[in-house]
Amino acid sequence: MKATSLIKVKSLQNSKLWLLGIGAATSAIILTLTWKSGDVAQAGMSILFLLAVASLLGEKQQKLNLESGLFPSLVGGLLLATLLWQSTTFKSNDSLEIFVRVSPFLGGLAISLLASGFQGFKQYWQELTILFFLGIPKLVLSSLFDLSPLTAKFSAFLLWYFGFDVSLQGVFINLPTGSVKVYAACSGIESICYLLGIAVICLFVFPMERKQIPIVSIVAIALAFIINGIRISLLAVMSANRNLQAFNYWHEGDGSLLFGIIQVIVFVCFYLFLLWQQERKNQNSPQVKK
Amino acid sequence: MLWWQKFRISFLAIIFSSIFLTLVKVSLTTNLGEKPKSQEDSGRVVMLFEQESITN
Repeated sequence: MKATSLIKVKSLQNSKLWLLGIGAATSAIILTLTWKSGDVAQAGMSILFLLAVASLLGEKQQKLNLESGLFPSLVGGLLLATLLWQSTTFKSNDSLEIFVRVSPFLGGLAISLLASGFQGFKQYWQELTILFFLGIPKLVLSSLFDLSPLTAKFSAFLLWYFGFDVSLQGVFINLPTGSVKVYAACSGIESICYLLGIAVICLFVFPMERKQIPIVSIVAIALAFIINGIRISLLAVMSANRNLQAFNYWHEGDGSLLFGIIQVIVFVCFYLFLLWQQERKNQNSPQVKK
Repeated sequence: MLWWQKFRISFLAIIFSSIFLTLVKVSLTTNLGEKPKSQEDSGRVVMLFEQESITN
């Protein structure tokens, strides 16, 4: 009986367990708010990215230095307190969207300061990079430029290539019997950022040669843009055929999420191919030397 | 800084309790900000492609 209570008290004095609890509870808050915001794609990606972070931390848990000083702990605590305050006081849907995209990175930053201070900060650079790609690039890029004219141009080109009588007016794709307008948020910038994030996860979890990194990033961006362009072309055809039910399914319904799944599957296949090629090269190289 | 090593566990425990209480509050809260006025405001990719007719 005494031994059991001693073990319990010793466990409570272990900072690792408290940090694990802080990380899990912060993730739960972020996931709850993301789910409640109605952004299913962001919620799914958040689960995937957080699992990747947990997996990376699990692999190196024995090597981590969990010593932190007073000042970094105070900074980390203050950062977490700000996040907690923000999570309970939303004035508009826009601020909620910003919160669900920025909070994973800021939360990770705060917890790494609490765990290892400023000196041990670099231990978590991979995890922080993954959390950064979960939402911040989309916010920054969409405020910097609008990709929709380029997306509209590419979709119109695809339609022209397949023999449709199409004309383009800025972001409007006109077919003889109907037209569609490509809004900024439908330009594919979100898909590009998500796929770039998945590329980062792949590169950290299944490392590749340094020279392959730019190729992987460019393929991720190109795949997201092209598949989104195909989706816009299909929507334009459905709109021209006055097939509103199909249009809504592929635009707002489950069909719209299907394109995201296709993007991820195609990218993962490409990455597996690169890994297979690298493995084959590694297997062949010692034989050549012999 | 031995006092800090002793105090650190209490500090982490306080932070954990605050986060846990916030999690309970967030889970029970249903009203999150104002609803978007139009599809364009919602911020969802799937909601932002609007069918429009054009008169040339």
